[in-house]
Amino acid sequence: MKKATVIVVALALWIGVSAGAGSAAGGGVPKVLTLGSLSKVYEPVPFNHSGHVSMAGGCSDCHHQHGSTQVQACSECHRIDPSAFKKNVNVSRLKPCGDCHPASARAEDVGRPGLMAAYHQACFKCHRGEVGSVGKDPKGCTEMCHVPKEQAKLEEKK
Amino acid sequence: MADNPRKGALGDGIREGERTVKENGEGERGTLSRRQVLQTLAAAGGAALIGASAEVFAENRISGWPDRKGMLTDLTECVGCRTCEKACNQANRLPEPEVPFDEKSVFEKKRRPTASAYTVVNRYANPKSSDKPFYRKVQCNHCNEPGCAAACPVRAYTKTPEGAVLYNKDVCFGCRYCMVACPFYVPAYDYESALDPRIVKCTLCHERVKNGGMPACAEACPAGTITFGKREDLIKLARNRIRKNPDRYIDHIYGEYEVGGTSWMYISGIPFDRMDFPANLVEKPLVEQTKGFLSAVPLVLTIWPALLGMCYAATRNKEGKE
Repeated sequence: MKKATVIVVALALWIGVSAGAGSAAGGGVPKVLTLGSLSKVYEPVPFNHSGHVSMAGGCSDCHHQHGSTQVQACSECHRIDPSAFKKNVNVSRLKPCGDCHPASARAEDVGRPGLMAAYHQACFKCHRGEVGSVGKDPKGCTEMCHVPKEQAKLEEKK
Repeated sequence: MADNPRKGALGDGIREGERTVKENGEGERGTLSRRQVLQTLAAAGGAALIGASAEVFAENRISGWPDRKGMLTDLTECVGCRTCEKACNQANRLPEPEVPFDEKSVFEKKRRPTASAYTVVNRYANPKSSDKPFYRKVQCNHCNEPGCAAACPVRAYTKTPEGAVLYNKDVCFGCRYCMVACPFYVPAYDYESALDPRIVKCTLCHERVKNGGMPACAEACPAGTITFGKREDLIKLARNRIRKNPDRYIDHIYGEYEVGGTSWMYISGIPFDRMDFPANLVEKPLVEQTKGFLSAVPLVLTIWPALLGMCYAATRNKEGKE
């Protein structure tokens, strides 16, 4: 029992230290991301990540992060399996959303939104009512982020 | 020595038991059975005469089909994009709408599901922020014990183990009792086709669900407003959300108990009656309101004529003798 406690405490310290180092380094933050893995009706969305970084208060405004209000149970993100542990707990790089949020939500896992819902819920925190007309007009979707595929094709022909 | 007390105890027990039977046996048994018979007769007679057996069946929460599916609509998440309406239209091969699905003018009036739209989204003002109106998706709530099915004289409605309430147009003869019985004003009548009239309503995409899929609206919803899953899991999820965000939600899962519970449930940021949800619904299934009366009808129709006939015959004979 004591040994296990020591290991857990040591791990916690190690995570804390490396988290500090990671955020201090601050490298590897993407500038523009193309969100297109779910693209069906609309063209892939170019997401200006660095633009949002400069506006947001911190990473936890959008991402699950230690100490933030969006924090999950540890096991939600980290599988405590020695071989996978090092890879999973790599705090200088956040896990892609799609690692945990599946492309289509599963009926067996009702608490976990699918990827599309997870993205939109992050966007709607600000882009609903306050920025743009999403939430007031169904056309708001195409105003800032989404170009319908049909429209894109028409524009190409021109 | 060690065996004796056990034997003794066992023996005493038996003897005591025998004694009890012997002492109380015949007399008690006689009166009891006479009383029971009288009670049963009185109860049956009373039920037959006035149909008072309703309370015997009341307060039954259905426990069958614990794996049945359901939907949870989180009304605080909906942004009114109408993607669910479009997905429903395509999945059910419904006619193209007169007004396109990205048109906001439809929100100016409150709409009801129709023969060509199994689901519609309505807009309601947000008292806290005019920039963030609330939206309510309306469709069949697939009651645990559906009033439409209870009212239907030809059993055109079926509650399936998967959770959906399905309608069979082949047996329907168009009486529209179900439209009156539904507490949510959902079943719509297809007035357009004179030769083949039918009721139209959401099917909870029963075929898709049976094949392991999920209803089209839940799959298409980009905002994570509609969650599909086991009804039990959804109630836990809803409770969890309310517990974690007490400022965001009112403490009520609409559909958990209303009219005996529905497959489709809702959580909201404002009281449900402000979004036109019927607020005066009983927690008992609607069937319970009428079952006592309706089950007495056949008894009344068979026993009363016989009883009254006998009375008549008895009095007439007397009159004849005098």
